[in-house]
Amino acid sequence: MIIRRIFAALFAIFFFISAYVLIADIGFGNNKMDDLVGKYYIENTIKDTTALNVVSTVVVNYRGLDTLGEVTVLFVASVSVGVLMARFKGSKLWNVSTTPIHITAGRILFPLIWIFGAYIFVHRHLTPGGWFPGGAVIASGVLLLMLAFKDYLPSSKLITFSESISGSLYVLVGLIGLAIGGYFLYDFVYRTYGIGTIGTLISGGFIPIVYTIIGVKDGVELSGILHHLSRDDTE
Amino acid sequence: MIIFWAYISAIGLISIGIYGLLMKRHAFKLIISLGLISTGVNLLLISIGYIIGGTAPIYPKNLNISAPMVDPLPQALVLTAIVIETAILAAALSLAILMHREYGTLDVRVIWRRLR
Amino acid sequence: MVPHDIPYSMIIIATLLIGAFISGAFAKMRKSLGIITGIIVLSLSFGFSIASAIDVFTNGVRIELAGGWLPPTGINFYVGPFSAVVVSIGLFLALISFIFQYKEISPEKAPAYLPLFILFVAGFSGMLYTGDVFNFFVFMEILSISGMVLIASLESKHSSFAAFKYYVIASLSSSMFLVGVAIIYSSTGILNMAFLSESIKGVNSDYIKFASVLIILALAAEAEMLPLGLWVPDAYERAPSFISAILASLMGISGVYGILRFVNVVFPGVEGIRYVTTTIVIIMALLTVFVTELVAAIQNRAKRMIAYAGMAQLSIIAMVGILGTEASSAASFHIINIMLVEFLLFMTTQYFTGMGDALGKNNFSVAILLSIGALAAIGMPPFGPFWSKLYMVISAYTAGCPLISIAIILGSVAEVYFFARVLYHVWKSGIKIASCPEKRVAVLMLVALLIVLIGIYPKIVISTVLPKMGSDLAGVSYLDNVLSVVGWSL
Repeated sequence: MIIRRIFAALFAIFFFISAYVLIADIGFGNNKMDDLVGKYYIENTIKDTTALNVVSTVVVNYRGLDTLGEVTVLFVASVSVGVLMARFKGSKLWNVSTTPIHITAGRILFPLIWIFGAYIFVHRHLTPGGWFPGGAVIASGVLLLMLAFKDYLPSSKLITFSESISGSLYVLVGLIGLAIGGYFLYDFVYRTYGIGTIGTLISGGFIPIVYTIIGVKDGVELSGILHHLSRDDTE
Repeated sequence: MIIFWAYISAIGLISIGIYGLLMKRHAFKLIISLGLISTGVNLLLISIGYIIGGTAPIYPKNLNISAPMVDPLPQALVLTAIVIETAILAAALSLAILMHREYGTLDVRVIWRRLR
Repeated sequence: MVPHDIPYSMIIIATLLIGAFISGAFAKMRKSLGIITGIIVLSLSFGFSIASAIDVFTNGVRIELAGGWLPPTGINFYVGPFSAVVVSIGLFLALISFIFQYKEISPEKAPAYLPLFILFVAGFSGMLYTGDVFNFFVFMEILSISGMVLIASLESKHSSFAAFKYYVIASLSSSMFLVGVAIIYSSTGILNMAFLSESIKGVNSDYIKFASVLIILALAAEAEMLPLGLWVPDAYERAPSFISAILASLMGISGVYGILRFVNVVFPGVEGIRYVTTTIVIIMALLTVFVTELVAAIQNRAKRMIAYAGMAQLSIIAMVGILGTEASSAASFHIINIMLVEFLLFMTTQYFTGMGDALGKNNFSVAILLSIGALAAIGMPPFGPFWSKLYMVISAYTAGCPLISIAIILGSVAEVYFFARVLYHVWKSGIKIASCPEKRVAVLMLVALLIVLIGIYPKIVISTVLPKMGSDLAGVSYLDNVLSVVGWSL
């Protein structure tokens, strides 16, 4: 037992040193921006899309297919939990003992949590990747409700339908881009119709549209996962 | 050897995760170790894009940039990678719950023996 | 013959994704609605993939851009002859598996299971089409996570632990892959496969060797090569048969494709790097073939045995595919055959456990199908794999690696032994021709028919399809094709 522990520790340390030597060799903080791709993104974001947040443009526009894959992976997670937990039909929630503290605190905190989530969400154009943390915070608000009020369960039908609709909407936006501009996930809002001026609310091409769709999807999906995980066999 | 703290923390997390993976037997602890490894890798990935003295890749309203911007691509990659890990985590936890239902224990060595 | 302007690969992905999203909602209303949606979506995608294949074979490789951005700024799909053919076969097999299994899905599980299945297929297609390293990772994860859950989805005995084993290895391999990508990106600044094949040449090769080792190890876990492929026997044995069939033919093949794509295209033909990558692949593959054929011979459970045999076949393909254009044609041929044969073999295990005792008397059609599959897997004429194995042996020899040829032959000898055991058990209790309890076995006959047809008329496949598939797999003019779209030249 001790031998195994020592061996494992030694292995971890050995890994640490060798990996670190290799990575440190590559250098940190060097200005590698004469490389092709990053420089292009930074220099051309405003020209290509009128958005101010370079990372949002990369995520939604230049590498939009990756984001579609990412949203799909989140959906895979949601249905995975659904498939594996489907056997448990009991609607009894976890055996959490709620006290008046939970209930009172829940009542106060929940609107605040949702306001915070909405804030992250609305300012998505200023924070990179605003949809995922926004949705996650909203889902955590739902979790608080589930813990504080024993009988509360987000409606499963609503969740499934919202997931399906928002997911399909994203693909539909891509297909509309295909129809209008000839390429899947083409930014037709800006590049075809020229809608949007820099710095105003309506800017960034179809980034706000996409972010809204996937933000809603994310919040709904995580809540769905919570719903599935909360069903418990009465043991 | 120069000390780059970002790399040290990233690789440190990975090493701790590897240690946990080798030593622990409880399914949840294995899941946590793997999560640590993934987190370390994400941290590594995002540190690659840093430029010393750089600023966030967001243009202010007046479009004047005071310093070079850091590389936006690793940030986009890490966003996707984090979401993917969350998904794997959710699926793995459900698997662990199922394992508990079937075997009554989450000790992987016990389950392995029972499988023979 | 088919319109050239349509980006088929994108449409296939879009169709599968929309299908996955809405089949869940429909199945919640009524299970049959979900099933119908699934069948429609899979058939549509299959149709599109056939159209895409015809397009690619008549008009040449098709580069499709996502978002209209040129590579390396944007992501591009590279639809070559290889991807077009393999995706078509994969979609066909997925459709058959779907039709076969729809009765087994309970109405509670359907809203979650159906999207999962369709997403598995979407991940497979995306992996084969994409031309960008990180996009490849994303689709690989879609495939991997849905595969992991599908193993445990119908909750057969011990399936949750088998899936958990796969989870540990898959999570490790995805982290390794990401570290490899991080190293590649920090050295070159590019994530596009075609562009990388040039830019990697100009960078410090030690980093690239390390990154290539990580990436190949990660892909080897998907491609079921030892020592990372330890999850395979348990997973394939404990998963429901129609899932194992899909896992074997789709997921394993995409792992091998990944290895070949990275070794042949992304990591360039610079001496030091190519030596490292090919050596690793050959060592792991030889190890796998040796160990799995031996272990398969002592198995008493047919499903496990078939899993081991499948691992060996995949490793053989990986070994042969890195040897050059001619060898890649042979490997492509074997890929086509293996997809069909493994699928058939695993589907028949639905009807028996153990070694298939008395199938000849109790379920004659399944016994015939199993025999076709077993004989084909060994490499008997007149079935497809006979020709592909022969082709692989010859091309490996002419490419200068007689060791690989010997490995293939020895592996086949071992396979004769254990498949013969199965056949003995199946037929030893006699025959009763009229016995066939289930009608859905009929769809499996389609697959068996294909195997037989390829075996009788190999020339059709060899002359029309293989040369282009081979050169695609070997990466001939991969970069040039992409550059011609971008409008540069090097």
